[in-house]
Amino acid sequence: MSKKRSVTRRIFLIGGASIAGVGIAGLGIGTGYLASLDIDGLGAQKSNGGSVDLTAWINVAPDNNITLYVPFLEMGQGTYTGMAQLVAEELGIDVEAANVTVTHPTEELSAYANVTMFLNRRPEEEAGPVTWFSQRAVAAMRMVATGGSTAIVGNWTSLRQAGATARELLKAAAAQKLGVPADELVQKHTEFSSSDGTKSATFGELAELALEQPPPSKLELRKPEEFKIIGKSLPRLDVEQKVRGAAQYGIDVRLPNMVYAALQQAPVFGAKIKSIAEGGVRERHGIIDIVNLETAVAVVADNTWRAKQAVEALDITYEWPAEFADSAKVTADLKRRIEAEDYTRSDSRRDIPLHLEKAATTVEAFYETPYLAHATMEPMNTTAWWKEDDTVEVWSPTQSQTATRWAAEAVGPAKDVKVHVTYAGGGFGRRAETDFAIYAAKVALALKGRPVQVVWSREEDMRHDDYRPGAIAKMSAGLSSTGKLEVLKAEIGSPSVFASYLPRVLGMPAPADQDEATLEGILKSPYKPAAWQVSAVDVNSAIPVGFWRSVGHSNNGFFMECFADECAAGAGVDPAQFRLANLPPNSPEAAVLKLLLEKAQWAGPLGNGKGRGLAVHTSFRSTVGAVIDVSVDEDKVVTLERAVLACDCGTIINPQLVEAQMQGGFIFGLTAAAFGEITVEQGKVTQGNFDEYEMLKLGSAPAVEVHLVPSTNLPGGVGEPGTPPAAPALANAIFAATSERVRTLPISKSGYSIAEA
Amino acid sequence: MARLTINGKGHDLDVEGEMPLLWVLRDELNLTGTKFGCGAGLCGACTVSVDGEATRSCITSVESVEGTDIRTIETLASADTLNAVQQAWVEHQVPQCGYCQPGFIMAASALLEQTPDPSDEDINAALTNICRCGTYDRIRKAVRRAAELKKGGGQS
Repeated sequence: MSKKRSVTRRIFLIGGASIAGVGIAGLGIGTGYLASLDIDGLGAQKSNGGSVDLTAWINVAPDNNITLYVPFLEMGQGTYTGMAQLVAEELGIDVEAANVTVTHPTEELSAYANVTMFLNRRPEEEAGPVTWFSQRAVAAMRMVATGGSTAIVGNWTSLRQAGATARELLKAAAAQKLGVPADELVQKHTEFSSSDGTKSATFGELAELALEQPPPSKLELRKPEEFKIIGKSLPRLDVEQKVRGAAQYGIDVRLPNMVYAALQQAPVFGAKIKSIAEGGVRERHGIIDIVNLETAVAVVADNTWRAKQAVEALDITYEWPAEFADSAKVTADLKRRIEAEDYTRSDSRRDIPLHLEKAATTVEAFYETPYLAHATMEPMNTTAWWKEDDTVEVWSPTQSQTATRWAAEAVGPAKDVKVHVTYAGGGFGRRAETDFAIYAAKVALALKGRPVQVVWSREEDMRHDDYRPGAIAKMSAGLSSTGKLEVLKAEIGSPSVFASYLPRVLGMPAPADQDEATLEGILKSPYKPAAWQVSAVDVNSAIPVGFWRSVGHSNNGFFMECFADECAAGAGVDPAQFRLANLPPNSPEAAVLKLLLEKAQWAGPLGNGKGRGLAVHTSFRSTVGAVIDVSVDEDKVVTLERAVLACDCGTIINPQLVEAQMQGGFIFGLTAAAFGEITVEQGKVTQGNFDEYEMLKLGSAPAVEVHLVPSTNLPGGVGEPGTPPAAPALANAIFAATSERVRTLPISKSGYSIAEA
Repeated sequence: MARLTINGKGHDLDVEGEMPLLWVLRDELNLTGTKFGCGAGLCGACTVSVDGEATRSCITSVESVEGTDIRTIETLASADTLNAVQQAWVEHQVPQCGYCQPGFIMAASALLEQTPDPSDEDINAALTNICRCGTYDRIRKAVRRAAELKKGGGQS
């Protein structure tokens, strides 16, 4: 590991653990260096010998082709389109035009570092000196990463500023070149002309001259009422490639002389390869090499299928770990620690005692959720080419270009690792990991000189995931005689995502305290009365856990919103009325709920055997409410009849994309609630493919109607917030239909199945 | 050796008879529009057309499709015209990650060839593919729209 990198990793710890700014001086990085970082990328003007970067976000080529750099993984969320809209709003271009392209940059600039995700704060939030230091520390590390629904949130201002900066530079260049005063120039897409149309110049013709212009002194950004592109349902910029089958995902990379590899990973968490009996496999048609990767064996061949057949034919023996992981044991340990009040962390208003026993009504419930796999449609894969001179190129559908580069650098004496980020067939947090990149880099090093694509089988993908942790919750409440929530006590048990992720992916120590991911969505719940306590327990386990769409909210949304329903029942009031009475009246939750109740016709008629369930939850700076109607027959077969969502995500950049994310996030959550469960026995994951880890399909998924709250507030995230309300809305609907509380997920554990139309 | 007709073109291939068609398309011919999702015929990402029938190519051996007319996603559109299903997919902005969509589009194209005016039940029965992004709502609307486009004399 180079010295430089070890410094940057330590900086990351400060960012990732939010120990804002402490000890930066001790790292030997001067404030002068930090101050010099161009964290918005507005000053990144340069000529690349032909084409010109006007800011870190916009490139103009002499032939007038415009490239917009989006350093976020396009994994379905529409980030290429949404980010392009922010730039285009100020740059004044038509992003759908043939001369505009969006691409993922290969450079890692400080402007591309995802400061918002690592510090969990918006750039627009007021920054004291401590925040100033930590923002720049993350930028210094140039950590390019996608996650936490942060692309728009983190770049809302900087991308519009970039568009305005480039526009002003080009306009000044046009004024000079055409001899026309700047305020008399007319812009049409990528061309400036004189008002009489006699003189004109394209961006491409102006770009070099734009570099010589003084930077604009003050940028006036358009006000919401002036927006022309923000707020429009532009079509996705990637849609045509995707319907043609022409979009290139990681698995579609094809390079001259490239070969393919299949993996057999040690089937037990913590096991290693002891020996490989090749038994003639090497002599098979098309087999090129067999590589021992310590925790996996790779077979390299001229065809993925031949590689897979061959790796399965090997006789591999393993060195087993001292202890075999077991998911049921994790749950049992978490329960025991909660019963013993053996908290890792406990937060409360110490001056206000809980006094549950004094409440007019007390409600208590115990909930349990399973481990979940990401199951992206495109299985894990990466293509790596370790060249003879030790320069390395990597092509990967990765949520972190930077972590992918580090992974390759850690494998061997790599020089100048260049990471090309491809389209991804889903991500959902899985691609924030680096295991797929490490294996590819290792195989490539063994195969020096020849590019190799390592593709995981579905079973390898399912059994070697970094799972959404299974969690438990003991929820207790005290209600007044009028149904007011007076006391709330939440005890949450879950393996810690950060404690698993930081050492595994970034080589850093686990946080000392239970991480916020375990408590998010409940520690700051809008329902919290004056008397509250939120506690957490943790259990160490060899089962790796990671970021799964909406992370802790996926558990805590279920706990809190099912419990709100139980409290309503305890108070003898309608679930919607209970929420409205207990949410702060001016909260986004109350506003979203009111819109939702109206649009879903909450009080409208329902037939026999039918139930209507409700949930509202805020995550990633957006609030989403959901109503779902179900019918349940005598055999506990549940038909998902319809779902209605309401969402307040602040300023809406692209309504149709927000709608798509709400629909997609909700179906993702419903699928998990209906079927999702990963179990680990004797150290091995039981489920292997979609017959054992089922998905909602066209015939079983409900239509999802989405209503958006108009807003001029700062934008919130949209990739994840649609997921948390799904499971509680479903469980509450089943209760409404059957009077049975489903407190354990998936609902199949309580005997419910999903009807296929 | 196997001889396959893919998108109207004959190919002589040095592959085992039991190799799934998917891996011939992807790794031998670089037709990467057909996707690998599960390898077990469960998700439909690898759907192609074999003599007009939607077929999951990950569980279809090369030897079983010799002498048939195999069509992949790459053959649906011309340089500047999408087929009716693809047009409807664009109109309804169906894809998110898009990885499963070639499979859905192939299945929907085969359905509409055989059943120009499908009922909801027909659509559910024909499109049992998995979409992890949850685009089902828009897929259903797009299939209906594609049926209209085809009836209206749009591209087939």
